[in-house]
Amino acid sequence: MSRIPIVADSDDALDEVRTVFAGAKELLAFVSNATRTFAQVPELAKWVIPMIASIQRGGSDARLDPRIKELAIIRTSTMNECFF
Amino acid sequence: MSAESSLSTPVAAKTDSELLRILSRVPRIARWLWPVSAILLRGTSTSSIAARERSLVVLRMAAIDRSAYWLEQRGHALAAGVSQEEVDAVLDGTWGRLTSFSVREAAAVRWTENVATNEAKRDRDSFAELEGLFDAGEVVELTAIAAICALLDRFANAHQIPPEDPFESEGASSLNSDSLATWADAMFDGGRA
Repeated sequence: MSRIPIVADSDDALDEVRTVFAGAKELLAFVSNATRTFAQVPELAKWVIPMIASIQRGGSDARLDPRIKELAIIRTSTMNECFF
Repeated sequence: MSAESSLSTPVAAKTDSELLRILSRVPRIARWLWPVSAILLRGTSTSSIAARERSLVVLRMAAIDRSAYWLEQRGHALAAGVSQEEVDAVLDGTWGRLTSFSVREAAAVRWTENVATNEAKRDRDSFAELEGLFDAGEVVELTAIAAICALLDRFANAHQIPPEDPFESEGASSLNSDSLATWADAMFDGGRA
């Protein structure tokens, strides 16, 4: 269970939160629990989600081999004991 | 990036940053990472994390990570109202002996140490203390400040980015989020980066 309440989809969500969630769906294909945690601070989340996407997903200008990128992600996560 | 001459940043308002120059080799990432860094290191008008609290987190993380680059920027802490004695104590890890830190500040530094050593997920007492002093949004922001410092510390250390003259301090002033968006658009080709 998360220590911080995750922000759920709801009709009374702030406009900023809706924008963040819509952006996450577009950039990352879904709204992760990490995104929902960052949404506790919408002003931060609206910059962080694109940042994560730009690093994880790359872009048309990406030169790094996707295999190398995945290896870096897996190795770092393992060393940090992060199972997210 | 739009122009080399426009490298002044919301973090270092008047001084070019070697860190940003290197990061900007990948504009797609710099366009988002630098604003996130600015928001967390400077704070915005909507943040309730005090400038002193923010500075203490940055300092403690830099000390634990042995980041020469960010330790050179300790003047920001002084500008935010952290005394020289407090700066020294946070850097050498003896901050717990001082009585000048508020309960919130002490909890923030303790939490930073847990994030830095990856013990935060195991230390229930530290989180319980934090939870009693900060609301959920503040906990997220505090943890994000520590985490972005860890990222930047590792980035500077890994690339052996030499320490540079301290950025001109903005003191305790917070960042204007609108001007940040304008800056990012101008720097990175209208957001197309």
